[in-house]
Amino acid sequence: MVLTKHKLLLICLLLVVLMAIVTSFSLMIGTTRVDTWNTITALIYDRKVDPVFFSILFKIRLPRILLAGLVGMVLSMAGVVFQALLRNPLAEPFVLGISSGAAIGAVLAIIFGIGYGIFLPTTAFLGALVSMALVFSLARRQTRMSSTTVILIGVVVSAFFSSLIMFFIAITSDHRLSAILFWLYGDLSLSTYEQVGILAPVAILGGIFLFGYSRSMNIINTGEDVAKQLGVEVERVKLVLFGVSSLITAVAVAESGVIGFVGLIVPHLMRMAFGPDHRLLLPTSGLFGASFMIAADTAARTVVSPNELPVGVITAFLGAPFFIMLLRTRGSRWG
Amino acid sequence: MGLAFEIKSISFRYEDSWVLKDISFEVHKAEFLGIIGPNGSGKTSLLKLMDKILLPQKGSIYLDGIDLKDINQRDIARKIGVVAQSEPFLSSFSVFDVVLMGRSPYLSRFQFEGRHDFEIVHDALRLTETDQLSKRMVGNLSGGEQQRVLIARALAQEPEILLLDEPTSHLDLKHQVGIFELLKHLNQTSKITVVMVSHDINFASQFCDRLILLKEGRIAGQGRPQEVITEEIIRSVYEVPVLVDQNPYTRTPRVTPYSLNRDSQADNIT
Repeated sequence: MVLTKHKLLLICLLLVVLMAIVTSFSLMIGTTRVDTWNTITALIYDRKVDPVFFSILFKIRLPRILLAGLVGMVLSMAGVVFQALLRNPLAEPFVLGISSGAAIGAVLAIIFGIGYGIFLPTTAFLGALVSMALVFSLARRQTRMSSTTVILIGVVVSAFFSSLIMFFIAITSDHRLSAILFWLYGDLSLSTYEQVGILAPVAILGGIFLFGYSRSMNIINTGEDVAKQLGVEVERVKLVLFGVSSLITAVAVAESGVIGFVGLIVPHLMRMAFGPDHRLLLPTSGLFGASFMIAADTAARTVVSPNELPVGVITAFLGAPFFIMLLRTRGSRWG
Repeated sequence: MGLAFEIKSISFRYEDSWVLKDISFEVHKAEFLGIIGPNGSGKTSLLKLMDKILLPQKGSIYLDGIDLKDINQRDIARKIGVVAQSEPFLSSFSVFDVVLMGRSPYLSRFQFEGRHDFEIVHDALRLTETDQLSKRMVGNLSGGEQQRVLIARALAQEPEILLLDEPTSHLDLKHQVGIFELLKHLNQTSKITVVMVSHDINFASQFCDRLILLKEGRIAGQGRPQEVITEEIIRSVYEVPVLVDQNPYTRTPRVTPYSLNRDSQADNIT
């Protein structure tokens, strides 16, 4: 019933164990058969290690798993925040057009030849902000901004940005083409430790920061006037939360491309399992989101082996029916 | 007795029409003040101004002698508990969790509620007789039960002042009386200042120490119920003929509206 620190820690611990299991499993399977067990024990006991196996496990699979986990964590936490603030279970970075906004920012950077280093996440963030501003200002033109309108406009803006990306693909023919293609559907196949190094602090610090606002999210979720009466500075909190969630989403998108629906599926499953308290919802969604994404990416690289699917295809394949189901059973309201 | 509120010539407008025009009045500590008036007279706006949910364009509001402008929302939430006009509460939080949210103004960002907070919540649940409901989902409760839960949440804020906006609308008679008795009890035993917007003149007359009558954003009368509820004043403010006599049990003024149009009465009967 009532959330205590112990209960929170216990549940998080269980989800970390789940993540460890999924990670080990993901490490073991793939197109090339690798004797994972022997490679790892050889490393531990300082015996001679097969260099090919070592490379596959620790230079290809592990960074990819870590990056997938971080991306899943970020997108799921952002989904929790957007759903809380908009009071709509359908909100998440992709549906709101924020992921596509980040993608178009990154694509423009590539087109103008600055698609490297700090420029890429920066332009992605700017794209995410522009997209969010666009979605909210379009939605606000109506006298009463309903969250369903925001979702609808988000989906349309998202489609518009995707078409822009398609346009850039059509007019690009040089080496930049493959770099742009990457943005259409999420792709984790070229993950590096460097990317993990960028996203890890963003995900962890962002998660801790957002957790600090989880009680405010609970209260805002029961009504904005009520939140003010209870001492929550609603406007400021919303601005901060939208900003930080967009920022972490943009950094994740800059490293992985557009991966949709994760932020929809994961928070909803967590809400079914643990109830509406954001102090539980946010960390569990982050941790379970990581496991979910690692599993999805493992599927992406194994189901049509030796070929690969972009991981965004897997999440969309699961997420789109899920979206429809949520829309039909719950409408766009909390129940 | 000091002053809980001092409202000094405030005016307020949403867009271009003034909702409240040059309103001044005082709220004494530990008093039970009723704000009555016809629809659209500015009652709800006035209550929101007193909690800094809205800001007046002119004039000032002083809470315990300090200008509301200079107090942050969190400190206000430690002094004032609010029960807003009841709207359907669609939440899957439990009653206990909702009442626990009343402790929020006392907690820092990463702090969890402690034993002290739980005790206060239990007291609030007991006082409002919602302790039996504490594990229920608040979205599944009836209107009267939800209203009690919202009062419990306001009490968990340990307020010196309660602001209530028509806490008994949509409730049946028994629950209306229950809420008023609860508020009177809190007012008398805990010395909580109660400011309540009410549609029901007769209940307000029975339970309030003092009344403020609003009409079109101005104060049309204020004082003890006997002073405000007269045939002349009520007729001019509500624009209907009324009979005012004395409730034989409570000795407070009693209002009965009537219609002189016999045809329309006949229509109503058939």
